[in-house]
Amino acid sequence: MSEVGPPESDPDALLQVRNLEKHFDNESGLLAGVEFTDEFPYVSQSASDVRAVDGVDFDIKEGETLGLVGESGCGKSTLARTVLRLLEPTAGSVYFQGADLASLSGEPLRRKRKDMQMIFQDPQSSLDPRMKVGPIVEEPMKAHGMLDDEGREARAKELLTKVGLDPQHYNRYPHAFSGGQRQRVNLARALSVNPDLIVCDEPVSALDVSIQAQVLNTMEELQAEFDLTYLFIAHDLSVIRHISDRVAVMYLGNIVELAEKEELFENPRHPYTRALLDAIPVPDPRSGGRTALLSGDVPSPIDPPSGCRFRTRCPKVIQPEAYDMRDDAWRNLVAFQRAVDRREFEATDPDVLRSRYFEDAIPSGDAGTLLDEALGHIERDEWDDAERILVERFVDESVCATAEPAYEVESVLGDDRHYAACHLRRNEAVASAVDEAATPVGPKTPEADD
Amino acid sequence: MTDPLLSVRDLKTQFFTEDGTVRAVDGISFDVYEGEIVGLVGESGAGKSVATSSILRLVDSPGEIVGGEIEFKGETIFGLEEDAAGDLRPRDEMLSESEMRKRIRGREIAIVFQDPMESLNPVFTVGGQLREFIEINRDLSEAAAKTEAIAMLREVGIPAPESRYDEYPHQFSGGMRQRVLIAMALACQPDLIIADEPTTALDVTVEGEILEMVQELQEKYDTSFIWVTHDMSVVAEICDRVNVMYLGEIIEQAEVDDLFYDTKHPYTSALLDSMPRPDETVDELRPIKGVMPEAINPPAGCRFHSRCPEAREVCREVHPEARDLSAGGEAAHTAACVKHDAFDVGYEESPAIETEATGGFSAGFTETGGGAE
Repeated sequence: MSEVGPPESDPDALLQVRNLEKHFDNESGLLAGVEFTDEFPYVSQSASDVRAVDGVDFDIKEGETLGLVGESGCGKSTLARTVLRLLEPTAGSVYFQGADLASLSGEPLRRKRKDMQMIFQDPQSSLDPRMKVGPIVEEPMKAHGMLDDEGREARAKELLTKVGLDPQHYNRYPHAFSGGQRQRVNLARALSVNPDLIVCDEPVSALDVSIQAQVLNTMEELQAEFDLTYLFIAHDLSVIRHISDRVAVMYLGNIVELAEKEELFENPRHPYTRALLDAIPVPDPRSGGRTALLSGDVPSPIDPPSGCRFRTRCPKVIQPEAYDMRDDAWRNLVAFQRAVDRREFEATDPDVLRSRYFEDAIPSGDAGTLLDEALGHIERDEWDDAERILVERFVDESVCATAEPAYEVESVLGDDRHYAACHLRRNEAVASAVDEAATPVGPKTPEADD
Repeated sequence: MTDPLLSVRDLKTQFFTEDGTVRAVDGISFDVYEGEIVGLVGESGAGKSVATSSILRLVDSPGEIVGGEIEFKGETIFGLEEDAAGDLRPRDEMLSESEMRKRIRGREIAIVFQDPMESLNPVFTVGGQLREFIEINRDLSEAAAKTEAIAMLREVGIPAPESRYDEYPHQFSGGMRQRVLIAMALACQPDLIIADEPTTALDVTVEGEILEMVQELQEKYDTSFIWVTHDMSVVAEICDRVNVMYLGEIIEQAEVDDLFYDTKHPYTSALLDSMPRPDETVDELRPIKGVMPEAINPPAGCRFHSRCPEAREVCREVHPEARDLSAGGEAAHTAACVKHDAFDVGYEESPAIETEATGGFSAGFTETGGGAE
């Protein structure tokens, strides 16, 4: 795992995250995770952890903005909190300015916190309604024993000016501010202890577009002035594109692609990134709207799919080695399997289904026989049997299901490294670290499937 | 052109608070024709949601509809007349509260809200709620309503609808819940659905799916929509015609293509300019300066003049009424900005004024509770 993925210890890196994991207990209480069975010893302990962050590596260089993007529930916020040690990591390390935060605790950790601050999504609930803005901004300085009373007040007023508020606002309560202004107060508070890293968790998503632009501009000015490093989390790719230097795309607890901004937006190498980019609406009625949308929901992080986690929704799942179907026949088969999984249709007549799902191409040979068998099961209303054939004999055989992808490809734009966790990249990768799963598939014949 | 399905004329809704009268909706007029999706865009506080609640007469005290006309399929949802004493009173043909409740809401005009968790009851199953709604509004037996409910769930793309019928709202994802609400809205095949920011809380991928589904269903059932949103991208994607609201007024009204490519009001252009683009990297964003003033005490003249980059002296004095600026034969395109020749109030000769937009950013206290500065 040495030569792939995010670069190994880079001397410029302010923050290095290595194989970070954060799992949550799915249940709590006395009988958490205990299951009763029919056989001796009648009870068993089952581990059903929610694997919110599951092996994440990345670096942030000094002075850059790393954008972190993904759908809700993919683990972005958990990652941010774990990086700051607001949550205890399950495994892995976070090196911040050389020290491993994951192993720090107590006073040394508290002192480190001075150098890393966080801005939250909801500007309303992250400010104490009973405190005036001035004391709110001074609070972190007090906690870290910076300056004396007058010094803090002077600094608070100066910071209020810097973030675009009026120093006169020192004595006002948060409720007197609009959402955008409150987010500016949050910025001033984060800046008060002169941090090196600010983790911003969806800082502008609760704001109106016009206000959003004001706050984004201020954040960029402050970054230049105070030499800040941002980890910027957002679900809005337009915002990410505007503010980031490099972008990491997260899916179900993993980073699936990481590259320089222009490279990632213009030359995405992971089907999930492609799908996300296609899904962004463009404010232009002549753009023709969005195309090729993803179907289905994000799978549960309690029991994520094997191999590539995106494979259950991926439009480009790779055909198993054992078959030799035409590409469109394979696509139809995958679409059919997903439809069966979702019980999308009521018809059970094989001919109707054939004409609906396999009109232009139908698998032949072995694959065709198996498909006929599955259709037969559906005709007899044995959905589970049909599903089992489709899953076990086709989908689970694919390299996407048997091996975890991790490749590094050549960047087209810029010269930074480009990490893409997709098996489609296996032939063009300059480095790879594929973890073959317990059930190895036979020798691989290289083939392009793009 | 045929008669509009819904016609709103000079609608005024005000809230009577201790601090004064909030003129949340201040004289808006628009039409919705059969089978079209009409957008209602604006920032938070522009009065979008008050406008839609007024259409259904759902405004509660201290709010009150104080003027205007709302006609729906030839019936009067709201209308006032003067009585002998010169006081305003509801006209006789105005629908009564029970008629609104039994005939209009849900059956003829349905509404989908932004937060699906708050629209569904957490202690009843999703299927049960949908079934009950169908049973009551369409006079079906329980069994028939259940069949219909499952069919509707399948129609809006809920996987395995038979088994999910018995699940509770918390077991559904946000996108799925919103699909359930759309199913509920469509269940009585209403003529008009008001969608109040239904996709704002959702991920772009899910939003894309839902918009696509709405477009398909709209073609199939030929339902009209009023689509309330603050997101210009959503407008670009699904609306046929758009109304842009600012501080209780509709300041521009046009077909979607004209609005984006032949923008007539400075607020609309500013709104479009302030958005980061997904398809290109923009070096610096150009935000609208300042914040929206309060509706209690709106600026005199043009309400946008305090933030407008093109404001002149005359903008402070003259309150522009929206006028149709389209050339003959084109689709109507109205805008309320005196910079256009049609207004002829001497904009050209008027000196430019210092505003937040021209004088740099100042964090003025103009929002709720800010008090006097």
